[in-house]
Amino acid sequence: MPTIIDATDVRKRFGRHEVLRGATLSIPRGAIVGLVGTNGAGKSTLIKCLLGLLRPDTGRVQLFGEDSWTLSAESKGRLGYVPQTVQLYPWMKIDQVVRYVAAFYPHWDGAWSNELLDRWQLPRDHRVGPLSPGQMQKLGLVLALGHRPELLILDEPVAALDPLARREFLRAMMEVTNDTQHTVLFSTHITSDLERVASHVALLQDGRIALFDELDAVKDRVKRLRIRAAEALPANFTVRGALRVKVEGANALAAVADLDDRLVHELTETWHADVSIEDLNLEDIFLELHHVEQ
Amino acid sequence: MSSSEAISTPVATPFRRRLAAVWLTYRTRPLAWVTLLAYIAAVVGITVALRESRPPFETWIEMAGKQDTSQLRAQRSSWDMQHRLSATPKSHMPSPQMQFASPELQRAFYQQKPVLPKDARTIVIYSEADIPEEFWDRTKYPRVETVIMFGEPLSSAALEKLITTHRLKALTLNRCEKITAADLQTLSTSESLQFLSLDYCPALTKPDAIPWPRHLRQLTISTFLRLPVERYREWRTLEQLNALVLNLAANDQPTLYEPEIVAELDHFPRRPTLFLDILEGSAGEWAVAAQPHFHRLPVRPKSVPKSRIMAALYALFALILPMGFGTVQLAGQGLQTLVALAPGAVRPHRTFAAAVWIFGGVMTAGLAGVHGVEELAAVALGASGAIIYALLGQFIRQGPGMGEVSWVNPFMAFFPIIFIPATSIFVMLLFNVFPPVAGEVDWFLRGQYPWLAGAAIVGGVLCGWRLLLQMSSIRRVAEEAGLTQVPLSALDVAGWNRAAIPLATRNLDRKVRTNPILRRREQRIETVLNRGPALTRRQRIAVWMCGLPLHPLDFTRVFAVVALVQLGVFFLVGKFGFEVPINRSIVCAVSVQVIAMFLFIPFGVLYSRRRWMEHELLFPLSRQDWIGDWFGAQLWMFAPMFLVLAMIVAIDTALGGVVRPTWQEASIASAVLIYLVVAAWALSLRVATWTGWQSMLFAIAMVGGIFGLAFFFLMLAWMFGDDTAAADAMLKSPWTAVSGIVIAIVALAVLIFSTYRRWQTWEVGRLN
Repeated sequence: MPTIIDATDVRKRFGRHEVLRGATLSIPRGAIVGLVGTNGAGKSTLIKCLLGLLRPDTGRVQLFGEDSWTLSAESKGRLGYVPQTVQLYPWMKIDQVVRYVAAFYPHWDGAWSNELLDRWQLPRDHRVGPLSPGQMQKLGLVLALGHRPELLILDEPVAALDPLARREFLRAMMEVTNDTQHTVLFSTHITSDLERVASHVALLQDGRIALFDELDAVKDRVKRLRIRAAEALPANFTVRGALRVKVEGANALAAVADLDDRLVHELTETWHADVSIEDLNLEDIFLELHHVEQ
Repeated sequence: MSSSEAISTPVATPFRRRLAAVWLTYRTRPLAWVTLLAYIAAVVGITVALRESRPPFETWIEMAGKQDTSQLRAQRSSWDMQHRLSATPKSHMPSPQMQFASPELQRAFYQQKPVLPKDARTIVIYSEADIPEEFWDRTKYPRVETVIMFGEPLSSAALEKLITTHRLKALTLNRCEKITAADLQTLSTSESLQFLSLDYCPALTKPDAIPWPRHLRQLTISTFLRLPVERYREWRTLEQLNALVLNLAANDQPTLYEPEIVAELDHFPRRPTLFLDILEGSAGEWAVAAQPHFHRLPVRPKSVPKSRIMAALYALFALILPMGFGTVQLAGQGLQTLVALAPGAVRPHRTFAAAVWIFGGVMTAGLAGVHGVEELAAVALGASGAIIYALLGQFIRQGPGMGEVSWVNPFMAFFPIIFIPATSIFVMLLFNVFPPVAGEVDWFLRGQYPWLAGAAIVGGVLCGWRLLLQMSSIRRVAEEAGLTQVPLSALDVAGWNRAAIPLATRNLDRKVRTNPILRRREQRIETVLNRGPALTRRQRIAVWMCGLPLHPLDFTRVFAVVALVQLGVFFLVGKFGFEVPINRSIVCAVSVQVIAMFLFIPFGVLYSRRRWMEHELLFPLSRQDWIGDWFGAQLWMFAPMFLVLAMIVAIDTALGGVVRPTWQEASIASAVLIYLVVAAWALSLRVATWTGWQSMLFAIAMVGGIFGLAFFFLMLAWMFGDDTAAADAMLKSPWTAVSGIVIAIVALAVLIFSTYRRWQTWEVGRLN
């Protein structure tokens, strides 16, 4: 599959604070990628670098094979973006804003944008100013989807939406992108949403992409081991490749990123232990990856 | 918990502790300290500057009477420097006029009679020699209306010819020793004379009856000799007299209080204003002392010192900062949810705001008091700010409208509210357009309107108190409008933008229906957006304009009206005003200020547009095209204004108004105008790329620049009067014109190029 987004060793510093420390990410066409990370991990900064809104200090960022900073009009026409906080012209009516943005796109699909407005119950004759944050987010998505972009980038798009609207939003996004031609990158804190729609997951940690893989593969790889040994385990008990280990007498819990049969066998043999393997959902994986005790 | 326990539990921490907590919010704000220091420095600076820069002899504003002699002196020296005789086109008086400076020049004039312009309307003569009778031949200058004679008096024959053949409106004779009763009889035959000034005229001291021109509106008499009561009786018959100006000897002051004279003066049918002064100098105190002797007749000083009025105006300006700061702080903190919910949090905030206001009021009163403003009037000036803020609060409580916009930035709202009236008065005073205004202001500052000062103080205190009490209802209005978080930091531009949106769009549909400007904008947006895709730059710019809160054409329309009204006032005053000196420096000052303030407005609009730039950069345009669109669109915003400016200058020139530049002056003016417009365009683009402190410093520099420039011109006008020789010579030099244009072009080229370069590398993503 051709690569749509290609970021290599991206570094970005604001004053003394280095937010991105060599982030590398390569997203193939047709992937729906959930970008997760703690607050302040640099998700928005990475997205802005990908879009050419910020210029990386070092490293290379390409969209559709072009340098993001000097993205051509044609490439921008294939791109849709919904920022974290949608800011639009408050004195305009919804319909006017849609037509305003449409005026810049030679291939705007008016029927499609009208359908989205209806579906999300955005009254065309209402002013933008008094809209709630959730309505603004929906309108932002309409504006991002109206020209049927090949690549959709969303920066925490559902944070301001209620559960119903969130589900509807995700459903619409899936409808639009449910083929091998559309690519989506969206950052979020809500891992359940990500599990529902994402094909891939990328974890941004300490300014780097600590993990990037297909969602199912991540779930397959990251497991929790519950170890019950015959005798008390030592305080310095470790597990090879463990993300986190917690020891309590003869019992231990270990989260591992790359589980294989050899490791289970090794633990069983060495500590005369009974080792059971537990599946983790994405939120658990996220917490384990950040070494947070549950 | 029992009910008695609940009652005994304190509902709030001690007031001092709460006050300390509020103090912490002020203390920890560096900008507050910088502002305080700047404010104190400004007040001290103004005080020192006013003391140091005052000329050796006080500058006076003439309320009535003869021409301002200091300005005439300036003209004469300018005239002498030119060493040639011609009509001078730049004049304080109805123009064109001609003057004769020295006997040598006068003789030269007699030998070259044909050089006189036919359309001379004012003649000012400094002459130690007789003016021959034939000089006053009406055919030579049929339009003359004003004659001012210094030096040798007119002969009887010359006076008769002047009165009988011309339709004079104003006559000033500064030496009348030889004027006889017969000459006065001649004067009285004039049906057109409205302004008459006679100095040192012994004929007036005789009790014999003297006839006076019937239509006199202003009579000025200067004499060391005692005037008999008969004169006052005769003047009483002048039905149109509205100003009687008496310049008497200092030791003659008591004679005015004689019962017979008081009786006459107090029963003038039209109750003219009696302007008093002494010949030995200027003594406004005399008018103050004389007023109690008259029951009906208003008495005022003939001339008032500019310094006191200027000090009062500066003191008022100095009020802006503390009042604005106190209110912004009150607004910012008062709207915080924490303040609304925490027990007893409102009171210390009110206390602190009141303390800041009182501090500002005391500083203003002190500044005014130091410069001779009477104590009660000075305190009234200090208290007046609260009245204005209370009005502002009232606007806010009433909901939609001006107040909403004002609430977003009360400091900026206070600015025009106090600044526009104060500047208007200031300009009127310096223009001497309506001398009674200066007279009444001076009268107030001398403490002669205690009831007004008292009302201002009581009103200020009550209004301030009311505004503090209104906080809860203002808060409710803000809550209803969705404005719950006013940024506490002036640098939080995004926060201010967020705060502005709910109020700006509140009830917008209703506003669109009732406001023609908004309705027109709505129609224009519809028209543009119905055209379909914007493929060319021109089309894109038209669409881009839809994203502006106010269309440039609407803005330009307002600008044109303001500028034309301003110019019209100058023009009318110059055309029809008598003895009204129009000072070109003040024209420049006011014009520059108006232009600069208007240039500042689109700059602000563009600055606020930055929040959508991130979104717009991702429209299907290359970065180069996007930059080109922005540069083009913003230039288009300024272009109509520039055209309006050029049109105004053209209209003014065609009408023969106040500017009437030479080609050199026109070149310099054009260079300045082009520079102002293009610099504003380039700077607005440049500053769009700034954040935080850079923007704040730029805004301060802009405001400082606008006022600094204006005050520079005003100081020039004040210190040197008009048409100083050096300034004239500089303006007339072709080198100045050429170098001005070259410097402007080079500076602009550098600015635009560096701005363009900056946009190439600017990270729009840092804005939000």
